[in-house]
Amino acid sequence: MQPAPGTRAPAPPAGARFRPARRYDGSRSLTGLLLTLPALIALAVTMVYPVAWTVWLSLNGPETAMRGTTDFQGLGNYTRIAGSSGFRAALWQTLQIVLASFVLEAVLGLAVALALHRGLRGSKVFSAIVALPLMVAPIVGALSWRFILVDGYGMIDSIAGTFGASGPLWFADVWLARASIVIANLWMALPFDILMLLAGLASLPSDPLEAARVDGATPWQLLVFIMLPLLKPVIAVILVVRLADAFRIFDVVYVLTGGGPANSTDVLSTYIYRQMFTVLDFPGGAAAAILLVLITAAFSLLAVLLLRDRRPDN
Amino acid sequence: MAAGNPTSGRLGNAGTYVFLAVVSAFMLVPIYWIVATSFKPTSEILVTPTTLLTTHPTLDHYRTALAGDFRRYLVNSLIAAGGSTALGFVLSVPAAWGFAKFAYPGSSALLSFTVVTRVFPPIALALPFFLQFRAFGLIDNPLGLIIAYLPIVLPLMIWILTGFFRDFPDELVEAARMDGLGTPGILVRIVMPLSLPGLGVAALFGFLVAWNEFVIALTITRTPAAQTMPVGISTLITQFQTLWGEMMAVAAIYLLPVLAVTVATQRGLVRGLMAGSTKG
Repeated sequence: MQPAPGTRAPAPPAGARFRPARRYDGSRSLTGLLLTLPALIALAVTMVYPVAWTVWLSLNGPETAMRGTTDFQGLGNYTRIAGSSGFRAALWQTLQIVLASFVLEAVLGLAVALALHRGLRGSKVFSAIVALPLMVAPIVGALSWRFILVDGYGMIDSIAGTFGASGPLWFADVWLARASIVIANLWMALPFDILMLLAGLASLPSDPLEAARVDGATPWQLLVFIMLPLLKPVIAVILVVRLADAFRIFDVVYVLTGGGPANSTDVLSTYIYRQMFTVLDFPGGAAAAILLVLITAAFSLLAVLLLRDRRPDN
Repeated sequence: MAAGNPTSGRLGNAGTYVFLAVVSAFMLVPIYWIVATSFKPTSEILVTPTTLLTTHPTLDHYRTALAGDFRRYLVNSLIAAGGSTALGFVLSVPAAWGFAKFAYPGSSALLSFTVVTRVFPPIALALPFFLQFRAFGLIDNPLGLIIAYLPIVLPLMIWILTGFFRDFPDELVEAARMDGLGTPGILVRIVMPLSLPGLGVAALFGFLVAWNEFVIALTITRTPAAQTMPVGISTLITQFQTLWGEMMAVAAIYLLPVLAVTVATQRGLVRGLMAGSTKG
């Protein structure tokens, strides 16, 4: 049963869904509002309100969290936290982990995706294997890496032991401990990068590639000047999601190093957790949490702006 | 098919296979180590050098694990993840249908806001949940976890479902309307039965993020009465003596369903990961 043409108000012509400037129809708007309202209220209660409350706690003294009284401090907690060596160290270490993870994931993720995209015999098996950690809990992944790297009875030490050698002390050395976090993190993040890039590669239009090849472009030129620019939307999504995940990294650090040795692997989330629930500095912890939100938001926005599709409109 | 691929020129087929094999080994080793260790007798676990594969497999660690608190952790994880997914499902299906087909002033901004919460660090929710839940008696309570997981599960499910629903043919909706069905009837009797893959992917993602969540559970649960699997596993590490065999058995029990789901639904998962990314 097809509706007769012209019986419903602003039916967008086929193929032009949603994008053109639309006029809102009163009753359709009301239906939309009613459909989305329960979920929006649920999010307001469980997300917007708690965050607003965290902001309020961060602007007040400790009494506010304990008794609900107002003790307005302005930005005092922010200057105190931002000036503390613990927060600065955690921020610096978080940035190092974010950067190292980003470079490794970009290079390895793209290399694996391109290798799988060749479609050699057995590619399906390989892509199933490299996707395996995709949904594994960070806690479980980190636990396994800890038991692989741990000195003495760990896997690496055992393999080294059969040759009469011994592996490095991963969790006693500052840089090795940091490296262990990046390795475990890489294991968990790489499947997402690979699968997203593979899906992006599969949907590339073949015409520009074909044309460039006919013109004699080398494979590297094809990659850099044709494929990567076409993959920009996918890369933007990967970048935003992975940046956010790397900035809030907690589980891996908690299980693998516990922030040690001597807080050298402390990251923002573990710092905030300790400030809130061990030091019991609620206002300071709240201020640090809001700073983490702002930093994550700033980097995500930067990633989106850098990779935005720029239309050739001069 | 994929000529013009830098790896083809430099490496050749053999090189590509070697590279893929090395990466695959990197991906498989931690999984192998969990499973292999879970079957080793304790006497083989804490020795140097330890065996890479035991010749005396045992189910002891599984027995101890299942006799201890781990059944509680498992049940709590199922309640928390299942409950928040069910609640998320009831809220996200109409919301996604509304965002996808019934735009209203401000609706796209609200959808963008919902999607943006994906990058939100959950640690920022820990303190308000902890303080507020204490007042309501929701600390160490599975119901508290269901509520606390909503801000993580719900945006993800709305995001995925809106992507699927946008592609739902308008002709089918119009036809049902001609037959006298209202919006709720259309949603339940036409849209949902025809969107099972999308609903499945959304439910799966919602369930898995709650199933894997750690920081919030660590904050608002205190005892095995409400602690989930990730928290239960982590308490075993921080204790004085690390019970590797038991822990690996628990990890294996936790891991294998997740791996099975990942392999079985890989295409759906990719669609879920991509949903919204190519549009909006």
